[in-house]
Order: sequence, then structure tokens, then C-alpha cells
Amino acid sequence: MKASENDNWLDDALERAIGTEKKEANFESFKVRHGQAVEKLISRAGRDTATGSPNVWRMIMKSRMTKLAAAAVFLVAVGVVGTVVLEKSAAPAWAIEDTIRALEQVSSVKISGIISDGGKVTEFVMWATPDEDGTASDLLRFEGGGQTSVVTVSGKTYRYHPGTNKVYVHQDRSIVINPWLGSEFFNTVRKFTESWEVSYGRDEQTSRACIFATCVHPLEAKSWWFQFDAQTKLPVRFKQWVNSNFEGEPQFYAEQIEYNPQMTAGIFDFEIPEHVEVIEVVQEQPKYFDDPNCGMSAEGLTDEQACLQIVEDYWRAVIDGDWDYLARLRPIASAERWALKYKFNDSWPEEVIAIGEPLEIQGCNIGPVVVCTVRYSDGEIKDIQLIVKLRRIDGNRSCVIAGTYGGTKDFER
Amino acid sequence: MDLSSETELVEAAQGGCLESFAALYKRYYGAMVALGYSVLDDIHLAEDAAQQSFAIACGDLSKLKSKEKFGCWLAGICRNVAKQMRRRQGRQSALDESVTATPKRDSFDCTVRQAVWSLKPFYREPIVLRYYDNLPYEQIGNVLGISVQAVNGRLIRAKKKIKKYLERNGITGGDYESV
Repeated sequence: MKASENDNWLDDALERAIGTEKKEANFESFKVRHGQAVEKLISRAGRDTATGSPNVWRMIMKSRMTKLAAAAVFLVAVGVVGTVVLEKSAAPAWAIEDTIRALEQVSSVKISGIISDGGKVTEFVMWATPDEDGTASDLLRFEGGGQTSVVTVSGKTYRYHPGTNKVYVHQDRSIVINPWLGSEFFNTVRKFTESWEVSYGRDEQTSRACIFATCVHPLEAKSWWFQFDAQTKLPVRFKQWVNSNFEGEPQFYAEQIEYNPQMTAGIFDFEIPEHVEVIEVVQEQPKYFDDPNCGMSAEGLTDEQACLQIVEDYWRAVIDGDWDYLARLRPIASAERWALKYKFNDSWPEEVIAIGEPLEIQGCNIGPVVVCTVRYSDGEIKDIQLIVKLRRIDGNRSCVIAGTYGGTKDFER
Repeated sequence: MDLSSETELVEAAQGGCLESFAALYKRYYGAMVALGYSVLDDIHLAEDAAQQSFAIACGDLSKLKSKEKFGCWLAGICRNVAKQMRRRQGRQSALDESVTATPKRDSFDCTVRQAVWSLKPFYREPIVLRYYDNLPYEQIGNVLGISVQAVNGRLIRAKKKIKKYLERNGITGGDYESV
């Protein structure tokens, strides 16, 4: 067989191009050059070899309510990554833009529906208002599964479980609809999903004229069904499946959506009932902060060097489109989702102009913040503040990009 | 590779046994030079990076809890040391120049090297580890902290990319015969 007919030639070529300057290990010369380090090693002779810090067990709260709430939020969050333009050729002209315009007038919602979680079905009702930007929810009340959660004006979340007579108090908004079920939501949905099918009919209960639409997120294996009111153009029902074929029970079914509903005064207030046990919930950090497979080794580096190194690697991965590495350094998304973010963002980081020194910022308890000046493909220059989480897992030092700090986001919508 | 004996070597080295550390040094020196080489594209700097990594390991070895992950832990140090060196020396821009300045008689090798260094680290590291010192898959897996199957997968994909790069530059297996 000729060399060109198999890959042996490539192996030979690589060996010749790379392996020509082999260096032998010479420990004697190492000892001479790095005498101090060797001394340090030897000085341990006879000492106890116990290493690292003792295991610290962390108690992670797992509650049905948290899971339900997470499912609700997840539903909407998934929409962020989904998209596509609707079938515009369909007869009575309806385009998703109509819905987007209609949703701009929405200042609060009430959603009643069902969450299916591993065969367990829970009915819920939820009220929410958007934050100032209209990008996520602000105040929220969630009732279902025998519990009530309220995100109050103070920004705290109270979770009341009458069955156990306990109130859990979170110092932050532990339930958030993000993006807000407004124009932002369908703007992003428009972008990411495909296989839209639109049909026209009437609502089973009210007989009002309606538009029915289905779409699929192929990469995430999700499918959705929407029902829009033909007159108001607003979505009145929707379902989400965690498969791309609309198979089985939907994981989330918003059976009824009311816009700008009448709400009783104090619906977003929470008064701790008497004689209940109050439990302050320590803020849980996302699991991936503790995942040893994520992040970058910080061995051999000072904290400052590690911060700069990971930030530099991060931007290089962003600019080069190295999605696997990016997902490892900043594991808020998988490589596929990073690829989608890139695909569907009009402007993408193109050049890092400057990387500042890592700063300890009061109020950011995750880790140091590194300010990066970045030029985007549309010419805009932004200061992005990246938070670096430094950690030690099983005795190994490493770090991970935890997110952005402050108002300026990078390419998050 | 006998991991149980490696764990014993690490444990002994943590207890101050220099011979054990020397054994680890010999076992991993080539891999660390290759790893440094994949970052720095300069074999002499790569040697410095490897030695510096072992020096750091000497001091920090007592902190290593997962003794069976010594290779991966050491690789983390080496990668960081090499990147720090690259930053200090402003090597990145010089890399391209050094490659293009190679004499014409080596132009084939030079193009192959360009192909390798155009890969992302994810693919470049296993390629350099494999072809610099002919490291077995098991040791590459140890250093990169991945399974032998994953090593195999990465090498196959990396070689496909290299082949494509070479083809774009007008090089095929047939050309190799005539070099």
C-alpha cells in the first residue's frame, strides 16, 4: 500500500516534525538547579504525610418546592436559547412580532398550570411582576405542592411549608422568571427554535379565535406548544416537553395565563406566621463551582496569577470559538450552548484591549473581580467584570469563571 | 503504567523520599517537556518549564490528596508555568515568525508544525504528547486526566484536522513520499 493510501505517512510526518529534539531526564542536573526545592522535599522526611484539609461535609437543602420553582424558571430560561421565525406565509397574517408588541404592555402575569416531575404532578399558581429592565421577574408569588414562596420587595425569598411549620428565608431572589414572560421572551424564542408549525382554531373553553404554534429546539431536545389569542395576540397557554417530539406529558403546562391581572394588596408581602420555625438559608452556589472537571488548575500560580491566567484563557477561547474549553472555564453553559450564543449574537468579542488586576470587591463574596476591556465585532468597547472563583478540591487548587459582576454583561441577553 | 506503584511513589515522595521523587521525575519528565512544548513551541523553554514544574511540585507535593492523579496535577502546574513563561516572553506573536522563518528545506516539517500549532490546546496537547516522545496512550491519559478511549478519540480528531490543514496547503500523503 502506498503511503498516501493510509495515515501512516501522517504519523511519520508528525513524528519527524515534532519529535526530533527529545530531551532526556537528568535528575542530577535538576537537583543542582533546584536545590532549594529539593531541600524542601527532603525536609519532610520522617514527618506525617497527612495531606490537605479535612473533608468538610456540606448540607445541601433539597426540597420539593425548590425543585418545582426551578422547573418553572427553567422552562422560561430554556426559551432563551431556543429560536426561529414563524411561518409567515400562513393565511390570516399573524407573526410573532405581533405577540412581541402586545407583550410590551404587560406589567404583571398570573400563570396557573401543572408541573410534571418524574411522574409526580403538581398544580401551581404564580403571580409575578417584571424588574426595571423587563428582562426578568422581580416580585413573585408561587403557590403549589403544599407550599408558598414569595419574593418580596426586599429582594428576599420566603418559603413557607405549613406541613412542617417551617419558613425558609433566602437572602436573594431564589425564584426568578428569566427572561421575563414579555417581549424579551419571544424575542429570544424567535431566534432559537425551528420547525415552527402554525394552525388556526378556537379555544376549547372560550371558543375565542386562536393561533396554535409548535416549535422545537433541536440541540436541547425540547419542544413547545403555544396558544395565542387571535385578538390580543398574547399567549394564553403553553406547554414544554423535554424531548423534541412532543412525547408524553409536558414537563410544564401553563394552562392559563392572565395578563395584568387584578391582584390583592400585599400579595407579594410575607409575614412570618407565629410559632413557626424560621430557617435562614445560606446562599447555595451553583454546583459547577465544586466540579473538579470544570475550571483551570491554579497549581504553581499565585491567586493573582491564576485569576489573570484564567481570564486570559477565557477570552482566547471566546475569540477563537473554542467552545469545549470555554465551557470548562465558564461552565454556565455547555459547549453546544456556547456555540449557539455565538451563532445568535449580533456582536461578539473580537479583541481584548486590556485586562486589569484582580480586585476584591465588597459585596462580591464569590471571588476576585477582573475588569476586562473588550472590543466587540460591532465596534463597541465594553468593560466586562469577570468574577473568578478560586477553590481547592481534594487538595488541588483551581479556579473557574463564575460570571460577570455588575450591570455590564458580556454576551448574555 | 502501574498506578498502584505510582501512588506508592507519590506517598513516599510526600514523606520526603528523594529517590521516589526522582522516579516520578524520570517517569514524567518527557511528558512535561512535551506539554510545555505544546504551549511554548520552543523546546528549550519547554525544558525550563518542565523543570520549574517539578520544582514547584517538590514544594507543594504534600498538598496533593489524590495521589493517583499525580500526573494530571503535575500537568496542571506545567501548563500554568508554560503559560506564564509565554506571557513574560511575549512569545505568542513571535511564534508565527519563528515558524515562517524556518529554512525552505524544512518547509514540509514546518507546515506540519504549523498545522499542529494551529490546533486548539484541547487537540494540540495529546498530539504533541504522542509524537514528541511517543508516549503511550495510558500515560497521555494520565497527564490529561482522561481515559485511554478519550485519548484515542482526541488523537483521531486532531489528526483529521491536521490532515485538512495540510490539504488546504496542498500537502497530501503522496507529497510526503517525495520529501
